[in-house]
Amino acid sequence: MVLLSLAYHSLKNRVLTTALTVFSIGLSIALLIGVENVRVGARESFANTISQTDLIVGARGGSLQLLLYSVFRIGAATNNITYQTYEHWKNHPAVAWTIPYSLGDSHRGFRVVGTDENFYKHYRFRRDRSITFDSGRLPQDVFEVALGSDVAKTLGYKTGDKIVITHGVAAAAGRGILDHKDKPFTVSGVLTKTATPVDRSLYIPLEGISAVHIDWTDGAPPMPGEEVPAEKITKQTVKIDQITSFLLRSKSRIDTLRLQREISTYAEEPMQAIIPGLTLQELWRTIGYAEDALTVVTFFVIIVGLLGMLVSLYTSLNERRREMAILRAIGAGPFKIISLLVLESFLLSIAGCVLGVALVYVLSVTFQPIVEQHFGLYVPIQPPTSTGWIYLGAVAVAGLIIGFIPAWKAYRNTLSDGLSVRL
Amino acid sequence: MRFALVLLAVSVALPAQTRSRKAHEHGSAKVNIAFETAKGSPKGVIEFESPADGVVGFEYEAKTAADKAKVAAALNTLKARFAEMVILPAAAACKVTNKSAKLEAEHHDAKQKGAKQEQHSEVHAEFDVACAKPLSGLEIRFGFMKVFPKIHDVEVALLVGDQQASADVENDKGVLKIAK
Repeated sequence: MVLLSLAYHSLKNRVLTTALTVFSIGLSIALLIGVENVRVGARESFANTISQTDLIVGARGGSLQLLLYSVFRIGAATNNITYQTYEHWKNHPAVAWTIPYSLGDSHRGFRVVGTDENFYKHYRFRRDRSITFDSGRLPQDVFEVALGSDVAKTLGYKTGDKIVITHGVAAAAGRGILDHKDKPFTVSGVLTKTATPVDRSLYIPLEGISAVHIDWTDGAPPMPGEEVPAEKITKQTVKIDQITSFLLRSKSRIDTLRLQREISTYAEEPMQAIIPGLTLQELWRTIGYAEDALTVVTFFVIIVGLLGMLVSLYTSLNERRREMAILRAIGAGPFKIISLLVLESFLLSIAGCVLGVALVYVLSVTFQPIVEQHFGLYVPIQPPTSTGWIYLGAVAVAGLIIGFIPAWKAYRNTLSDGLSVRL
Repeated sequence: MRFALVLLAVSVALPAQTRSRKAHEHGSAKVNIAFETAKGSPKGVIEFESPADGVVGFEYEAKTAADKAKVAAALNTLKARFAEMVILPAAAACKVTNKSAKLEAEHHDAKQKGAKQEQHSEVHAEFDVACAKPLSGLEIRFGFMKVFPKIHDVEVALLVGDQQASADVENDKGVLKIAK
């Protein structure tokens, strides 16, 4: 206890050096734990976005592209598939349910997703959570829209408001290729927050996507006077030609494999069916190399932080020769001197760890909404992972071991200083 | 514009459908394992796919009696020793209830005049499995090279209940853990 008090007061006596050393270790720890939290958080966030879906089906192309575009609404657009083909698979005897997605339009930077009632009935995230409404109900009319919670919150919309969707993807209103001004949508409801990309989209009926393009010719809007008024359009008058992709749940997991093969070899249309969990693992394997490189860099930052502590303790020894000599004179043995220095080093690294973890929390709370807004990634604020605890333990132990270097030097100093006439 | 582009893309892509070819990489194989659930007495299916070279040793059409015998022997070995290749956990007491294996040839047209027609063939096998005890928390291991030394890189996919996992098994190193 005396030793602890001595170490504490000694560090306090050199408050600026101590604070700088703790800060440098704290920063490197924050980097290490932060990188680990983002890595784990991003993986969980992605994995939690889609549950109980056996296959994602779309036009043939890259499996990652299909997953990222259909589920996370990021990356390049995939080709479409015909509605006829979708209906073929929807009615397949091995299929339990399907959720169609039609993407391509937007509203003030948020994606507009054409889908049907199956989305509200069957879509699952975080294992078994389903879509619920904070207010209102699911869209029933062609020109009704349900908003993800972030969309409603960011844009300040509520049930009953009228909105105009934009042809193509635009960052803000008016910057799109064209706004579908003649066919506004009424907000029928706002979804409960899911902390997934679901929150950042608007959901309209599949017929709604076709309806806004009903009077378009060759990808161009109608000439003045040729527009079809919104009042004349009903679900029955709209024909759905194509969709982007669909989610599929098979009646049994064994059927999933057979369905995947059947879809991939479907003669009528070039298609692919991906198993979302496997494609996500493929994604982690791909970016795993970059993650490893980042971890190596953060380890080097930690080493630099610890070396800084060593330098600070080592250089302070010259100033502390009198202190050590007095300690020896009043009866402190070599073991006590070594223990004091090792304890100081250990305390510095522990304080650095605590500061680092605190910094991670502060930065997480500050930047979580920004990261979610810009990247669609929800990084949860949680205690360090098991790997994070291992890192913290390793740094504390490294601090303890490094302490032996100045401790040995101090012990040697006290021997020579004790024998010398002048200090 | 988007609609027109998509229609164009689909119409361009359609003719390619009949000429598309599956990936064919010697030394590799693909295994899909699916169980309805890991609890109770799970029943499932395991599919195996490999270029014929890895199993039979050649990919040309077996015309001589000796080659036909080689194909039959290789397929019999695959069926008989599959439990050594995909090692299901002993604690689950799994048994193969049905097995089938066949060789499928794929002919490619010669690209240049006078060139020989290119041929690839693949081995497809399917095994129905019934386990007496739950698979939850247990591990699946692999031993492809012990039976077919040429197969050293295997992509394994696992579907059990809502678990979707995969592993790249190189030189029989790799384990797939079934979730609890």
